[in-house]
Amino acid sequence: MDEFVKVSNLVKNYGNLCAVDNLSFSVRKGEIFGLLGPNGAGKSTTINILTTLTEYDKGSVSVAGLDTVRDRNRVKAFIGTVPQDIALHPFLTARENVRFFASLYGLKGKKLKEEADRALAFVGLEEKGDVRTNRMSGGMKRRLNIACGIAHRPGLIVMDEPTVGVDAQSRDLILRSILTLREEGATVIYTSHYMQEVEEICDRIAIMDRGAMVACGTEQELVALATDRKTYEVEGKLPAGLDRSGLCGRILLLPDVKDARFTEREGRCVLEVATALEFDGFMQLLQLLEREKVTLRGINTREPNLDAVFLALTGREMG
Amino acid sequence: MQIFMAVWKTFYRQKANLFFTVFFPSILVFILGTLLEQWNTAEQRIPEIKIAYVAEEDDPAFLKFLKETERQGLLETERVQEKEAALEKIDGRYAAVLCRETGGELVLYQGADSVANRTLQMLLEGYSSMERAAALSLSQGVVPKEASADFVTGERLGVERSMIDYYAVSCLVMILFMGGCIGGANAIYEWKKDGVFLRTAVSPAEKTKVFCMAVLGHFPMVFVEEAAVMACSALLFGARYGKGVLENLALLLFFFVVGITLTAFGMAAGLLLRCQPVAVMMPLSWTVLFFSGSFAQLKIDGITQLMPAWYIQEAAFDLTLFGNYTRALSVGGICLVCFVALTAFGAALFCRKRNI
Ligand SMILES: Nc1ncnc2c1ncn2[C@@H]1O[C@H](COP(=O)(O)OP(=O)(O)OP(=O)(O)O)[C@@H](O)[C@H]1O
Ligand SMILES: [Mg+2]
Repeated sequence: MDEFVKVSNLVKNYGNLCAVDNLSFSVRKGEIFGLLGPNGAGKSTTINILTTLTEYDKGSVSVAGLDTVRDRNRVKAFIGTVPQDIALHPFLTARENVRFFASLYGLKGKKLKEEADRALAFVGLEEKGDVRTNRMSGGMKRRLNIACGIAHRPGLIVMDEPTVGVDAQSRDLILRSILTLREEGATVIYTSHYMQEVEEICDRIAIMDRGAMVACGTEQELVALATDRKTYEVEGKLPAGLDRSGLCGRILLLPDVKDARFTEREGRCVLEVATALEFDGFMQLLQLLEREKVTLRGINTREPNLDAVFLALTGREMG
Repeated sequence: MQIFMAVWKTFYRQKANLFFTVFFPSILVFILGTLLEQWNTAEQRIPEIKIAYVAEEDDPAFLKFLKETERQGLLETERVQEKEAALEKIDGRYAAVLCRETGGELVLYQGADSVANRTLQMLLEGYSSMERAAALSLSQGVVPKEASADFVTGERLGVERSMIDYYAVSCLVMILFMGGCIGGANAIYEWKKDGVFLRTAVSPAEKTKVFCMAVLGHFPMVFVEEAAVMACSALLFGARYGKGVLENLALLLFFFVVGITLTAFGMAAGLLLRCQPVAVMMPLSWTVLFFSGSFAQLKIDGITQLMPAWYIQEAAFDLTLFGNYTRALSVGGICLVCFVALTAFGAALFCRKRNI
């Protein structure tokens, strides 16, 4: 099935505020789909509509061919939700929490116990099963929050910023577990405003801003959309009496070089060379610099990232 | 089942709950009881009840009866001619006015003093049943022997009563109100706050069932609360409730029904309220309890009778002090009906709520 989740022309207004503005996208079965956008972009609103929590004004949403309004209960049974705000019973232990929420999906008896333990182990909390939630650290709660959403083995897992406020270690664990979920056959929709995370795990990414879709595709596609160049930052000692503009002119003659200039950075002089994404003249550039007696101290490659994509597409910084 | 257990565990794992629902009220029973013991006994000693009576005929038996009660120090009586004038003085000079109508019928005009009213009612009921018994004996040709004068003295109500007993009952009512309304509303509030609602809403679980299980989950809590308060105040502070085991069990059952009704009310209210429920429920229950005379024996005609807590309390007193089940049964029955209605209402609200 190519369009496992299909959102078309979705509109949601809160009074005058348009939280989701004519949004369309589709998610394929078995992929991790990232929904990226700054605070207030409408990510959570979209997610809540998908999980049937919020009503929408226009458009249509379907999951596995089922309409989320008409077949609400069947859709619900199919989805595992990891809400943005931690949703746990503070006075129950980790295991009791997972069992409680899994029981809402109809799991019972032995199966319930097994699945709860599996979910706990999945997020690395098997040893903390008997710890009360209100005595857990923030990162542990985040992981438990995930466990509670996946214990019933949902086909579609919807995660709303599951890594907010956790340390690098917990975050790695969470990201790895999401990859495992995909290997087990689940489809994952993942929202975040951290570029890195999304770049790391998502197969395809949709960038949202002010309720509308800015761009959608694989990381490479998005990058290619926004910019056709990458930048080398060359640091080094320049020989006395160097003709800077002359050097820049000669660099510009190299194939696929789009720009070359000297800039000051933290009191040091840096040569910035912008090239096409596929730049084959790197050796030639180095040879040229050597001929000019530039003592090289280091070269940085600045690959364009989603931040740059966002900046390019909306004219604003992300986050 | 998971839901039921969750509610229960949430309750007993909060240490503050234990203190507020069990220990604190027992202490309160004790403090209020002992503190007010001194004031109230002085104020309400039975001899202070002074009544006027109007007798249209000189009925020797009736006059003898009044004289006897006066002799035993139960009442102070004064014969008046003008009924209307005496009625004006109710709650002033007299606690009540008693009329012996021509046909032998007794009419009691009560004042606001509930202790006096009850005492009088009891006396008169005793008297009229004795009259009936005597009439029966006479009709069968048996001449009743003159009863020994101190035949009832010392027996009183069978149990020595103190203010602790009074407060033990009214504190239980208080606990049920506080615990039920606030506890129920708070449980819902916490579910909202902790995202349990959210997860319930995204799950395919049947909402009605979830809500009913949550209400059920409060049952053991209500029971433990009242049983613990009763046991605690009885064992530690010597409060007495009913006369026997049966009365106490009936009282427990009665309060249990009241408790679950109040909890269902609290939960339904919790669903309606948008703010912190304690902020609304606390003043509400205090006001109701205050006007029902649970704290002091305050009684305001017209208002007190509107307060549900008053009926509950009166029914409980009927049960404990007089071993009379009728009121407890009717109030309990009404409570059960309310409980079902409130639970249904709450479940409907819960189902409708999707946006959190
Ligand atoms: N219940 C609501 N009532 C009114 N406005 C709302 C409501 N929920 C969200 N909004 C508004 O809708 C917009 C989108 O909010 P949303 O929570 O979807 O953003 P988000 O992308 O999830 O942001 P974040 O990264 O901060 O979680 C915001 O401007 C927010 O103020
Ligand atoms: Mg959000």
